[in-house]
Amino acid sequence: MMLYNLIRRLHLFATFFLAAFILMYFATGFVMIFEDNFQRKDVQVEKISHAVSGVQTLNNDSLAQRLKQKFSIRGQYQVRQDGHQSVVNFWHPGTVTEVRITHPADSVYLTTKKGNLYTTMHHFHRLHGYQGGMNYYAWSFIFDLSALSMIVFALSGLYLWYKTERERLAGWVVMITFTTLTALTIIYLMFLS
Amino acid sequence: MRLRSLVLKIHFYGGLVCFWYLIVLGISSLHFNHHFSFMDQSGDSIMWTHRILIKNHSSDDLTLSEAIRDSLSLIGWPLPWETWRDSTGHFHFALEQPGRRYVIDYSLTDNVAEVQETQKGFWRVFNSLHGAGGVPNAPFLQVWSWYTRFTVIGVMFSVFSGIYLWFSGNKDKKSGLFTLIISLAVAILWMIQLYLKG
Repeated sequence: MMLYNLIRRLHLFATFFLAAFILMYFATGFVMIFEDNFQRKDVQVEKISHAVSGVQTLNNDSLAQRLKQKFSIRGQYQVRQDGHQSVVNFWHPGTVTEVRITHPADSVYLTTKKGNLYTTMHHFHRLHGYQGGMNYYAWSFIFDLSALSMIVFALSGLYLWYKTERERLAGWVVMITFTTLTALTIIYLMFLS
Repeated sequence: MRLRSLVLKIHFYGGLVCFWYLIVLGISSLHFNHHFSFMDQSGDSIMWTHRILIKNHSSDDLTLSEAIRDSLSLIGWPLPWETWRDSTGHFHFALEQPGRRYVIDYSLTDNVAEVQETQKGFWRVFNSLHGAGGVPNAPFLQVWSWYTRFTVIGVMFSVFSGIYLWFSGNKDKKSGLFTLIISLAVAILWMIQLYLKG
């Protein structure tokens, strides 16, 4: 009985602590799944040409920080090389910025796209990774907790159902049906498609 | 009390329906955040060729890719950024689906497709179930697509019904209510802060 109460409390308080995030992930997931009804659009696209000296010698992190300060860009970033250009992509919920730097002239070309509400919801849903500053580290930590809570909800819920219900036949039928669906989908994708 | 037991039944059985999708969501989300190397490994590649008959070779790359895919009875999405034509009369494109990746060289002159097929392995398939469904030419995956739709709605219901069950069946409502209000307020303020300042 002690284990039952412990698991019940874990199931409940995990919901209380993470309710807002779980709802956010499933509400934004709803928008993604029913995408036809929630079209993503850029409501503003801004393009700027500029020259920034001395960026050629900077490493990736310093380059991103310099660009953030210079152009007031926010968010997580990724740096890659594309021929003679360095490309830095910044992501912030609702806003995506691409910065192309042409060497050796160090001319900088910025494209900033601001999305509508549905784009912002997409970005919140996909926001992950331990980089981009403290706000994003903390977000990724909550992302991990939310992911773990999914596993906790599933396993603890199964335990609580098993311990609470006396008539379990219907529950086993449901479990076997959806276990079979999951297994068949994996088998289909691995061997039959 | 009858409402409570009805909500409890729906909460239980809805939860059992959602069980496997929650497991998939949890594991795949952890992978998205940490990129576990053992989950990123691909399986074996094989090469095969097949002669196909396409009446009109469309000048539109996407249309032609889809026609070749359909003629080869494959499922998946052609990748426009990995599509090109060369000067020797060959059309090249890549095709992705949750379980496999194909790189296809199609000879426009003798209608032969040379296909490199790479298995993605169990974990990549498992993680793809996070958002699988709606794969072109794969009607079976519509079942999974509908399952994910049901689960999204089911979990949102479970959150509210779980909170209702707690408050309707527990004498000590203060600690739960306090935890819920504080965590909701902090989470919502934090999302706003991230949006405005992050």
